[in-house]
Amino acid sequence: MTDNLDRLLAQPLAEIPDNGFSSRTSALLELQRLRRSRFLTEIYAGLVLLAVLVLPFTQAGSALASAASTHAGTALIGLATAAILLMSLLKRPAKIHLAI
Amino acid sequence: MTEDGLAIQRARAGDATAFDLLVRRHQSQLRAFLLRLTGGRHALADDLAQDTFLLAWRKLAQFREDGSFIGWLLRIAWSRYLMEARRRKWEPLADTEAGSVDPRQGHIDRLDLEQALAQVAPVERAALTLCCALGFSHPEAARILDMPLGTLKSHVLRGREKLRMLMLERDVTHD
Repeated sequence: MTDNLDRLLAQPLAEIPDNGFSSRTSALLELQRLRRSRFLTEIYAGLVLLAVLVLPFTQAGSALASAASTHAGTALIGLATAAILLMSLLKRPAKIHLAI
Repeated sequence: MTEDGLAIQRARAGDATAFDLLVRRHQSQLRAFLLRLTGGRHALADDLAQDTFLLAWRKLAQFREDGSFIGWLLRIAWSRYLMEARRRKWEPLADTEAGSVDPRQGHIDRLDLEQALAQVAPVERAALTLCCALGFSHPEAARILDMPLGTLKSHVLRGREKLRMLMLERDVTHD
């Protein structure tokens, strides 16, 4: 009896055919990755927007504006440069977001 | 480096196709393990297997190369199974539902074993499956189930003893 039980227990588990399981899992993984990228992009975009809105009213913003007016003409150009710099730092998630 | 090791390295670097390869390679064993744990609930076992792979993808950086990848997956699967069992407050399956193995695929003995296994405690079922059917050593199985070696050994012994009694009862009933 014990021998028979040991023999049965030692049998390898039955092979389970894939039947699309791997493809479904991969699709879910892809969806999860895209959601994550999108979420990060939204967070970064929010931060950039916040910076653009708040920066003009801070000391740093004033300094940036005066530097911009000295070197490039207007405060707007300075802010736009800052925004572009920020966006380029966060280039990767933004690209993914655009791809969606 | 093993084939798994190479795929893991590529997947860590963000290569999704490498992870797909790992899913394809290990899905059968993982799903079979979960199928046995869930007492033959196919849909639930597949859901848990899917969750396991999703978690594994997210935690891939935490995988240490000192153990096998399938062992690590089974460890995640076991913890997912425990969470689900606690959440659902599972009742044991009725004898007719338990171990829904297609009798055409195996022998009646195997069907009996699956039905008997569905009646032992999940931790004993897991310990027996890991040590006997999947061929893990006792220390490896203890690590997968996150328990001391001595506890694992007593689960294996107790589970085997319960199974022996259940199979004996079944034989008497059949005769």
